Amino acid sequence: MIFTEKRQGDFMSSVIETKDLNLWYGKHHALMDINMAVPKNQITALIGPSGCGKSTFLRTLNRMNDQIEGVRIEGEISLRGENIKNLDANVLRSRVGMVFQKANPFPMSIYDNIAYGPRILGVHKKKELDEIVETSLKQAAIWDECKDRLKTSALGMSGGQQQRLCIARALAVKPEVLLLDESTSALDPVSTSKIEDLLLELKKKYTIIMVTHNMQQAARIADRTAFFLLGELIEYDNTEKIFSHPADKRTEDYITGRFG
Amino acid sequence: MRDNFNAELKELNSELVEMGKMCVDAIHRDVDALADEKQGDIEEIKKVSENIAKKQQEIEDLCYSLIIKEQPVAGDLRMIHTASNVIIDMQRIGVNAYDVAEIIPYVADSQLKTQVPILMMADAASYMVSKSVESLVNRDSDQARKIIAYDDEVDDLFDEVKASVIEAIRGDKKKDASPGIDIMMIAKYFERMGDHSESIARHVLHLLNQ
Repeated sequence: MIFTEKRQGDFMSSVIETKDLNLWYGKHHALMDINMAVPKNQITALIGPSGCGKSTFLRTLNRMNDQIEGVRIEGEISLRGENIKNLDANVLRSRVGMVFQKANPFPMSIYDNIAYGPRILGVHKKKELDEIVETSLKQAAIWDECKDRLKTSALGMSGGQQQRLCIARALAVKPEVLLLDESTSALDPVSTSKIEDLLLELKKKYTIIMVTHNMQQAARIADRTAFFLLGELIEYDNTEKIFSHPADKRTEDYITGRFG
Repeated sequence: MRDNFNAELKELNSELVEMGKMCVDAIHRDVDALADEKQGDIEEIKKVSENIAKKQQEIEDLCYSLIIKEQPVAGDLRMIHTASNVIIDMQRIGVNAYDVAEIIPYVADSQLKTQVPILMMADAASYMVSKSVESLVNRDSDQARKIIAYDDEVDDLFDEVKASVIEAIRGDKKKDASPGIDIMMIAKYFERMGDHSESIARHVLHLLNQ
């Protein structure tokens, strides 16, 4: 793996850090010795061809692979220096939120979608929940579009609105890290652009890690980009460096579309 | 993969080679006009210089089109960026060639032009232009470095021309000094062509991450 910056500097401000992370699906070695430090308040993009391990890596960060049969994980993942193995899975997932490729609002009202997580975590006072719902929807830049229909079903929203609702739902439990797995791949350019603008705003408060197949998206909004190939982290650097002067030929071949 | 894009990048290379050849042609025509005092060539050089400017516009359009269509990154982006820069250098070489041509009639009858190494400067400039473009097309960093070093030789020749002109003017104070000044201007234009070629070579090193 190519580190072109001083590792020490990376690790000092990192929120999530992996050390010699390996993952197997049965006999298939899906992640190999991943050492990566994700800096605070930045957007980190994970890129690579299908099956390279980037989504597996993302899901490992909030232990979503734990329940899959035959999965074996070695190495260490720490969240602010704390090994995530030692954290309760629900607590971990409230600190490390996830937004998926396809918007998945619960079949309930917009309000209840947002209030769902806080209620599970013990927030029941209406005033407090009202505040959380409003703040989360505002942070996700969707408040103005839905403030007058909070009690209507979330399933009636457009795809782009549903995805921003899912981001608001993740924000409602006040996470430190937001994971996004190809979260704009099913959206039109306008909705995609709204979410990209939103992520640029959100990174002021949160640390964002996103898997994307859209090279231009990574180039547009990510501060750092990691290129995965066949389970290995090939190159991890500032996005500008990756897209102008990649150090590894495999990175160059992939981002210029000459891979495979 | 990306066959169409690869073909267009190849076309970009061919266009750069073509523009480089036009620059060399313009310099050779300067040399012929200086040596043979063919006044008619000056109009030809003007046309070549104008055609170089047109070629610059064509290549620039091609670069824009490649950026819009292909959204290049990494080595592809650097190549297109490099092409956009070197065509500016080559266009200026074309302008310099015409600048030289415009002065040639004023030194046509002067013996001074045979007493100073002005034709050697022209040869050196022509060599630098063709080799710098060659280093770009062949992605040859060694060649690019040689061109950068060779610019010192052109600068030395310029100093020689200057010393010779000063000596000639000092030698016969009653003689008209203006051909000497015109020769100096021609030498300066050739020296500038060397600088533009050096700039092309430096762009090549950037393209190659060196």
